[in-house]
Amino acid sequence: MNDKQKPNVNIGNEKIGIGMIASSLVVIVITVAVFMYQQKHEDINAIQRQGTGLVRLLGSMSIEQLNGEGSSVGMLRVLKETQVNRHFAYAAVVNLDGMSLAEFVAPDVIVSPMVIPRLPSQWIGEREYESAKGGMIKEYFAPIMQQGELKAFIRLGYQEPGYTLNTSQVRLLAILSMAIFMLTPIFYFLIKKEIKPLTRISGQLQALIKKTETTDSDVSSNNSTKDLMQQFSTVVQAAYKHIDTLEAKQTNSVVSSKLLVYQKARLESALNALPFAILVADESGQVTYTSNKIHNLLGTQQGEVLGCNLCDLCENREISEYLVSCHANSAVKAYQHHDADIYLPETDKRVSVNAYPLFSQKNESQLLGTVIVFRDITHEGLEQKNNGEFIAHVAHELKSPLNILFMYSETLLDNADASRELTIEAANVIHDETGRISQMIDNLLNLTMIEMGTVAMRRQRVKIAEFLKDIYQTMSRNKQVESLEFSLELEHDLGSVQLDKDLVRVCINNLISNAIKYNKPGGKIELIAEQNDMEIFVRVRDSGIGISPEDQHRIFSKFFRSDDDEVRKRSGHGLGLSLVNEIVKLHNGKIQLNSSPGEGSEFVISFKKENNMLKDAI
Amino acid sequence: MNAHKILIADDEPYVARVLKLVLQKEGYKVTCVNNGKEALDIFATLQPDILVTDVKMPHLGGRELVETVRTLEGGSNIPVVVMTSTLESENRDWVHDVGNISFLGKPVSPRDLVRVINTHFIHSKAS
Repeated sequence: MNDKQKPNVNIGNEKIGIGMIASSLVVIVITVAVFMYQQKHEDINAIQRQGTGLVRLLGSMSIEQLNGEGSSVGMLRVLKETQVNRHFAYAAVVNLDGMSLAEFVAPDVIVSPMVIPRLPSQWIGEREYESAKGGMIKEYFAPIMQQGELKAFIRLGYQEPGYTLNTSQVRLLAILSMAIFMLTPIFYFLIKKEIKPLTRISGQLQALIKKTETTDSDVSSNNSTKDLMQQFSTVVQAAYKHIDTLEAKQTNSVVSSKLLVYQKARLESALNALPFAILVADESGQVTYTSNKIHNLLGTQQGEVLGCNLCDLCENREISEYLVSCHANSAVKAYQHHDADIYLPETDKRVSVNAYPLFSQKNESQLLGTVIVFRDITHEGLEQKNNGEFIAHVAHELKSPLNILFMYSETLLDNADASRELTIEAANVIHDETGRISQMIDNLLNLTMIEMGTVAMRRQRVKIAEFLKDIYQTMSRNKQVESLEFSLELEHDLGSVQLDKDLVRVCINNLISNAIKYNKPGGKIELIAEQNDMEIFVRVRDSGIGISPEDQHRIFSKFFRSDDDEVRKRSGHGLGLSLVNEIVKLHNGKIQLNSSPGEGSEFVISFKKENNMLKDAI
Repeated sequence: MNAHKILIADDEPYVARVLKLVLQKEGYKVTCVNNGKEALDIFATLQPDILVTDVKMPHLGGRELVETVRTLEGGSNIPVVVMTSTLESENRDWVHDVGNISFLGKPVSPRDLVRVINTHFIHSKAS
C-alpha cells in the first residue's frame, strides 16, 4: 500500500466510528420512542377501562353517598384521596340544569359545563373536549337515578395521557443505553481489525488496476486472514505476471496487425496501380480478391464481386465461359496456359484475359485457386491501327516523290541524247522533289517529337515586330514570291512573347509557303501583326484558291489533303498545317481559319503577351 | 499508220509528264488526265487503245475507273496497266473480275511500262 492511500483508509475508519455512534444513538432513540408509544397506549386503555367501569359504579350510588352525609365520607372524596389514576382530572355531580352539586378537581383543571342530553339513550356515554387550559379531556358520564327518576349526572374527567415513561421503563432504558454504548466501541475495534486486511486488499486491487506495484505484499494479520492474504498476494503477483505477458503479446499483435494492414494497403495500392485488373478466385471458384480496375473494365459494381462465383461474375457470357474453363483447367494438373481477347459490348471495351493457376508455396501440387489478369486493349488496338495508318501515309507520301525521281533519272539514263529541254525539266523536278522530301521529313520529325513530348522547348523573349520582319525578308527572297504581292504590316509598339523561335518560325513559314503554293498568279500575301491588351495576333492572309467549308474542319488533321483539283495540282504531303497546329498548341496559343473558296484564306495565330503569361503563371 | 492512243490517269503531274515524254518518243499518242473522273469523261470520245492508271486518285480511284470502263462501249476488253505501290497490293482481288490487266509496282520504271505496252500491241498485231 502506498502513502497516498493511507489517509483515505483513516478517513474511512473515522467514518465507520462516527457511523457506529450515530447508529447506536438512533437505536436508543427508537427504543425510547417505542417504549413511550407503548406506555401511552397502555394509559389510554387503563383510562377507558377505569372510566367506563367507575362511572357506572358511581351512577348506581345516591347523591348522598357520593357527597357524604354527616360524618360519613362521600365516594367522590375517596376517589380524590386515593388518586385512583395519575391522569384523573375531576369527578363531579351535576343536577339536571348542569349545576354542580359536588365536585373534586385536580389542580390546574377547569371543569367545562355539561349540556344535559335529552334522550335517555344518550344519558350514559363518553365525550372528548379541549380543556380551557389546553390539552384534551376525556369525560365519562352516567345518570344518577332515585326511585326510577333521573336526579343528576355523575361526570368523571381524565386528562389525555402524553408520551411519558414510568420508572421501571426508565431504569430498563438506562441499562440498555449503557450496554449499547459499551458495545459500540468494542464492535468498532473488532470491525476495524477485520477491515484492515480488506482495506489492504482494496489498496492492492487499486494498485492492480492502476498497474502500480505494491512493495508490501506481506500482510501481517491474525491467523484467520493471514493465509488468505498470503494466497491473495500470490494470486496478485501471478496476475501481474499474466497481465505483463498479455500486454507484451497484445503490443506484439497490435504491431503485427498494423504491419499487416500497412503491407496489405501497400500491396493493394501496388496492384491497383498496375495497368491491368487482377482477380483471384479460390479453389472452389469463388472470387476472393479483385483490384479496383475490374469494375471499370467489366462493368461490375464494387462490393458485388467478392464472394460470388466466377460463372456469375459478369453478364457477358463469353467472359463467364472463359473464366469457368480457366478455373476447370487450373484444377487439372496438366495446366495449359491460355489467354483470350474478348470484346465486351456492355462497356464497349476489348479485353485481353490471361489465367494462371495459383499453387501453394509449401506444397507445389496443392492448388490454391486461379489468378486472372484482365488487360484493356481497346486503345492498344486503336493506337496500333492509327500507327499503321500513319506509317502507310508516310510511306505513300515518301514514295510519291521517290517515284518521280526514279522515273526522271531512268528517262535521262535511257536518253543519252536527251534534249536540253528535258534535261532542264528533269533537273528542276529532281530539285523540287528532293526539297519536298526534305521538308516532309523535317515536318514529320518535328511533329513526331511534339507528339511524343520529346521536343525541347527553348522559350525566349521574342519581340514580335523584329521576328516577323526577319521572316518576311527571308521569305521575300523565295523565287516563287517574285510573281506575288507580298506585304508586311505591323502595329506600333508590338509587345513581346515567350516563344521557341525556331518552332514558331517553322509554323509561320509553313503558313506563308501554303499561301504561296495555293495562291493565284499575281495574287497577294499579307503578313500582319496586331495586338490587344492580352494577346498578339499574327495573320497570314492570301488571295488564293481558298478552302471549302467541308475541308476547313479537317485541314489541321495529319495527312489530310483536299480532293479539290486545284489543290491536287500542287504538290503537298498533308503535314504542314498539322505541324502548325501542334506548334501553336505547344505555346498555349490559338489558331483560327477564315476562308472562302475562290477568294482566299486567312490563318490567325494568337499568343498571350509576356505580361499576361506571367499573370497566368501567378 | 495511225498511232496507238494511250490514256494516262495520274494525279501526280510530273509522273504523267515523264510517262508522256517517254511514250511519245516510242510513237504513241498520249493523253494525260488528273483522275478517274476526267478519264471517264474523255474515254468515249478518245477511244484509247490502252489505259494506264494510278490507284489512289481524288474524285475517282483507279479501281472504280477500271470497273466502270469495263461496262463502257469499247472498254470491255481494253488492256489496262495499273501503277500501284506495294502497300496497295493486298487489295488486288478485284483484278480477277475485270481481266486483261497488268500491274506495275511503284516506283514505276518508264522502261518497263514501254515494254508492257509494246508487248500488248505486238500480241494484238499477231492475233
